Amino acid sequence: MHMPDALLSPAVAVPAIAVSGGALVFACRRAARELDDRKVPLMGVLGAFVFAAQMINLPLVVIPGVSWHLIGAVLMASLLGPYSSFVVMAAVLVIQALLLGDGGLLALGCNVLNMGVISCFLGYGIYSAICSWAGGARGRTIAALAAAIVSSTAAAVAAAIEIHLSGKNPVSLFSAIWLMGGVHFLFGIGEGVLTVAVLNFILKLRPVAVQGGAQMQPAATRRFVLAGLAVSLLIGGMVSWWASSSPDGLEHAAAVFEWPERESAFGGLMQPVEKALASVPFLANVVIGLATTALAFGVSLMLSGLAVRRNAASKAA
Amino acid sequence: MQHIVNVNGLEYSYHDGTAALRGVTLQIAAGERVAVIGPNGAGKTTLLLHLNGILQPTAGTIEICGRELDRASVAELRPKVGIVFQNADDQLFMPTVFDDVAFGPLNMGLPPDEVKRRVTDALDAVGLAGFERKAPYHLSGGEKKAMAIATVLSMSPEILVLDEPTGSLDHRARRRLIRLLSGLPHTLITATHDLRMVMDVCGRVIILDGGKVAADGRAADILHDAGLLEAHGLEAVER
Amino acid sequence: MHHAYVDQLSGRSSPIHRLDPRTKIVCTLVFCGIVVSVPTDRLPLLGWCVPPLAVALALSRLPLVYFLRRCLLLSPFVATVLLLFPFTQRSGPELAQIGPLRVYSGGLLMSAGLAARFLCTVLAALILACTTPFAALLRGLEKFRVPRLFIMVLSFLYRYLFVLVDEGDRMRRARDSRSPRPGGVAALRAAPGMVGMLFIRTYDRSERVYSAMLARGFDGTVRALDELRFHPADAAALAGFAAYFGIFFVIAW
Repeated sequence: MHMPDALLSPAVAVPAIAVSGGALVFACRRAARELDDRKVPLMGVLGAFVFAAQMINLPLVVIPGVSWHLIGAVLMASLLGPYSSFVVMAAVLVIQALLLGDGGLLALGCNVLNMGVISCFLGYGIYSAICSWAGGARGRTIAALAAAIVSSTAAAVAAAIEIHLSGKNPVSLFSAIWLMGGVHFLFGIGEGVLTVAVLNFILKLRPVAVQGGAQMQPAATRRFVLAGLAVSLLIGGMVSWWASSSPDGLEHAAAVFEWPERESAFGGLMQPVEKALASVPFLANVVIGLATTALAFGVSLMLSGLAVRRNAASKAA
Repeated sequence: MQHIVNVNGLEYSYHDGTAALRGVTLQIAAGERVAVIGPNGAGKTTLLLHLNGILQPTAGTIEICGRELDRASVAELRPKVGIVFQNADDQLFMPTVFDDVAFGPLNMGLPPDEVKRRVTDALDAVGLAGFERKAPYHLSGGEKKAMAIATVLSMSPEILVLDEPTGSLDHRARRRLIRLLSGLPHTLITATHDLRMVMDVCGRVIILDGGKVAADGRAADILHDAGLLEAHGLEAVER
Repeated sequence: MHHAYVDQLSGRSSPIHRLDPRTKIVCTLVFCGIVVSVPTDRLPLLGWCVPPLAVALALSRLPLVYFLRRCLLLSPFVATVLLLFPFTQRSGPELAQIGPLRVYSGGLLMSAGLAARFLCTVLAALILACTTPFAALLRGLEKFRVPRLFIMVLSFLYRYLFVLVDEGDRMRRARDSRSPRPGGVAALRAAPGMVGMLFIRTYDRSERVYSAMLARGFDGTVRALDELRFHPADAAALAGFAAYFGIFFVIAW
């Protein structure tokens, strides 16, 4: 999902660079305070590990010939915490852009935002929240799965939005979000399953490695999750506004950002759904966007609630 | 005569309780070349890691150059003891040869000109003159070993400690390393399985077995005592 | 491996190699910015971006064949976007009809623009990577106030990248020699162990590296010698670049 420079316009790439750069400076300062001196070699060598692990191709057994690989953001977040894992993933992305040409240089702002900021912070928020509410091996499994699925999907959706805002989206925003989000929802499942397996493996052989990361105090976790929820709702609301059919706003934007009329994907299968959404007043669209975001969190809460009840039941038994 | 290394009743146990060293006592004089040999698990590497304070003893004392090695004196005494680790890749962690060899002197707070001079001298001493801009990944096994020694020489230590220096080296690289070590003026302490190298380089041998000193004497005597060597899991060297 | 080859190429010598990394970083980023700023309806302006690339390529004495091959490597993602535009962008005259799908010239132009921008930006980034040794690149980034911790992480990452990729390769070979056929479920079953073992070996290695750093006096800050120096060639390169694109802006407006 590394985006090349050609798919982005300066209007999108430059603010993204500013946001990612700011996040990096902030994360470096926090990471410097959190871990001890060991962090310098540890983070660097783990970055090399992520790079090497991403090169281990795994077969997509259902479709022969297609391969996928671990991204590692959620694994890193669960082991190192949000700030250090973000620094590691950002470093991996920079190296990939420079040495492999995977992703453009200007696009680094967006790529780091999607596969660094969103993947690590959102992933960590979900992971630690579910872990502190559910606890134990079962909690960890659900946490890693949920974190991988949500963060993978969110990163892909963000990429789709960035490309659309740059005017380089060949299909409608609706279609792009569903295409990218859908594919990466599936990838997220694979990532989650593999992350859980690797975490359990590491716990058996090097438990000390797992102690560093996700042990935030419940109060701090709550603050972190609430802040993340607020930010997501804000962004979700803004995107819904963009995607709404407020004609004047869209036409003006189309003129500025080069949005000529685009076919929706799937040979028009999506059209009825889009038409339905378009006919609804834009405020309703915003509410729908907000509701969807809240739903994602609600699902995680429900899952963890189930896990807690199961834990309590098994403890009582 | 003041010894440069003075270990007294050194004991060390891991976090899980297993005892690695059970009371090691030895003295090493300046300029001596000592080999520490013994079966795997005898505690050789553990002993070496105490000499510059990376590991702290659970009992007993260590004196380096007449001063006791503890948390307060570590910063001052560490540059005097240069440890070359078993796996060169773990020790060469900077992007270029120059950066790696300069790491130690820079940490000592030396001025840039002095650092550059020391790097050049150290690389000359190990036969890697002109390698400054190279990346460690591109070096051969023997060159990496030589470079690891250079990274320590640049700190001008008084004592050189080497953990399995000839492991995984081919014949030519090994011979070159032996020649290099024979020519260095430093006090030398090396843990090794390579008894032939010990014959060529060291004058004194200490056998470590089960965390204790089992024998301590002249290399010529110990290395030809087949019975003694067999008793501690080692093979005698032919004359 | 691509990254190993880039590492090799950056160690050569040429007028471009000898430029200060800061010069090259600035020129590359500005160049890419200009390329992506050219709107699709003024695509011919991109032609201005070709001569600087050609000059840089020629002066850098890098192998052309390798470069052309690298530029043709498209991720399936980019390829999909390029292929969709002619069919989905309903602007401009209709050019052809393939079954139920219609090809529009507006969409074709969009794809052409994307491809051209892709080529230019990828080439520019490649020239930067292949003419600047990574250590020098890091020094340049440090001068641009990139956080010290990040620079150090990049440095260690780069240093141990090759070592770990080799370990991963060895494990993959071992797995393949014990699998009934490649691409089977066996590979999936081996994955957690492979990744887990790679992690543990990496974690242990980081402990040993830390010990080695302590043994040489590491106290938390990594110091480096200040070695970047501007030369007349850098001033000339920057002046030439600014003049060329200054004229470009005047004409384009």
